[in-house]
Amino acid sequence: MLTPKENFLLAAVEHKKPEWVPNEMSDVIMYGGAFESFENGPAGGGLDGFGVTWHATESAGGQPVPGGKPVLDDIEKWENIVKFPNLDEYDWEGSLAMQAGIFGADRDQRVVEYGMWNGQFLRLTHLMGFENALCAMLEEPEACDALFAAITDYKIKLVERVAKHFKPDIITSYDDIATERGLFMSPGTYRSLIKPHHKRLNDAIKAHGIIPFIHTCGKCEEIIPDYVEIGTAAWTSAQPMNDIEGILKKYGSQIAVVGGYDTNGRPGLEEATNEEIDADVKRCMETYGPYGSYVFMGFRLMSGAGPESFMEGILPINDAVEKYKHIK
Amino acid sequence: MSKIEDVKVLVETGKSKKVAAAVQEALDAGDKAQDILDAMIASMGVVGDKFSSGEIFVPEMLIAAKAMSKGVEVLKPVMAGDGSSSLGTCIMGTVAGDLHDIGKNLVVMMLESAGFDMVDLGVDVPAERFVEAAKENNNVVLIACSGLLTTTMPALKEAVQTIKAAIPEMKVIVGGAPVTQEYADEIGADGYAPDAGSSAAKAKEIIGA
Ligand code: B1M
Repeated sequence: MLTPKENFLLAAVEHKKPEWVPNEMSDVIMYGGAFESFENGPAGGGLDGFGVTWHATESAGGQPVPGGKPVLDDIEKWENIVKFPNLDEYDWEGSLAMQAGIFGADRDQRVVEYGMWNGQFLRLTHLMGFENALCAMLEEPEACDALFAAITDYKIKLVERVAKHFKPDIITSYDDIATERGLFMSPGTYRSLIKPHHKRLNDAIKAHGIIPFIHTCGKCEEIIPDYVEIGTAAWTSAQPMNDIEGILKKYGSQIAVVGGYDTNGRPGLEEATNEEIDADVKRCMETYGPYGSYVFMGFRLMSGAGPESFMEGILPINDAVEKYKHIK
Repeated sequence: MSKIEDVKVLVETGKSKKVAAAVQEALDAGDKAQDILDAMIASMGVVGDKFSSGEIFVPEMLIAAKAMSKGVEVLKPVMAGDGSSSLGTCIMGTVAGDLHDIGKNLVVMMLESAGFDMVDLGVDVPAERFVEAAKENNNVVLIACSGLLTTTMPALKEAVQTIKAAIPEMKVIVGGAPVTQEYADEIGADGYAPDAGSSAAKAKEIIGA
């Protein structure tokens, strides 16, 4: 029998049919993300390494949310205003030890995935506020391109540190460029302005022998072929407003899909019943499982800060996964 | 092309740096301020429809709205005191616990372009604040509540119920990604719009304009 790690890699990286449907929420040691204080501010809120203020709210399940006055008003002035985190000030080994203590370090059994939050587009929105950032992409594309390039240079330095200290199998870049109904920007704007930087980051990750994933919530099915083209092994947090089955049929041999659960629908609600949760997990396993190249992922947004409420939301989902993961 | 046509094209294509001058030129050429405003409202209607149908995206809509507001700035002093085009005041906000405002801001822009005087309460607005604002402002005909998180849908319900309990005749419209027509009905709202493009028509329908 395969280890969960081998089984996961078979689906997510080799794009083949695994022995059972892997579960992102249990087969993975997930490092990074909110622990990067230089990216998301210190726990409980504060400034990140770019000078952006973050705070934690109850309805965000304790997750950090950017706010405060935008650091950058005029994109053309970015070179004089935007500062980047000093990655050498960060206690990499201390952070690794702390996270390994929380999430475990059974590297032979589970894959190690490092979540690199705040991708190039998201970082622009954190610096400028969403609306200004979106306008800037249309009104000042050259300046945006230059800032995206600088953010990518910084991210590549981050990848070097992560590779050295965390030695992950996978690095996932989180760039939420989509909304419930479609991309934030036109596919043309994505392709001309963001995609080249996503590609350069993917290439840098691969140069360290690490597998690149990209996380994008919302409806982004139009650019899945682009994610394939820039060498992304898996698209994560796939939500069912996308034609996931169609994507698996068409691109499953080139890119894996991690997700499926209806996190924004009834089963994603705090008050979802166990029957509703069960039924949606079963739907995922039956609909997407047979294609291979699929990893289940599902969570519920819970109110209340702290990891306990997050876990409380996930447990019944994971129980259902155990029940249905062998469906052929 | 007539000066008004120029203004329309500039609004639709979001050329905010050029609109003010074009509006001034139209005024200088003898076009009536009200006609220029109506033309810009029509342009935003076109932009809203294109957004609803997926032909354009959030940035295109934002720059169009920005362009329109530059044009309105030029018209304001000319039209001061002329309340004829107002549909009344609309209070809008994102409900308690919810910090998402991009969709709400687009709806504010569309309702404003359609002729409502907008009072934007921002994000994380407690239910009672909508009621207070309705009492503090003149000629409030509509309250619009936005909610983006499944965890704040109960706050949307509370907002509608608090408003209806305090001011039973007040019309309330709701929206946001997780909201559906069924949910709007269930919580007692008078209307629901799935996107910013359709929100203006719905809002007018609700108030009988
Ligand atoms: C009154 O009448 C009306 C009529 C129509 C109305 C209306 C009112 N209001 C809206 N409409 C309608 O018209 C608008 C225009 O057509 C539309 O508005 P929308 O707002 O739907 O559409 C906008 C034009 C574009 N859409 C958006 O702006 C939302 C985009 C996504 C990516 C999103 C964003 C941008 C953000 N987020 Co948040 N965010 C997501 C979103 C992902 C998604 N798939 O949607 C969503 C909503 N977020 C989510 C989450 C979980 C969160 N977010 C959070 C924070 C943020 C940011 C601050 C980073 C940012 C908001 C920035 C801002 N200034 O608003 C946190 C919560 C903070 C809080 N307490 O509110 C946090 C909890 C965690 C986090 N760290 O991301 C998810 C909610 C899941 C759920 N189950 O509810 C989410 C769906 C992403 C996901 N797939 O997980 C219509 O709905």
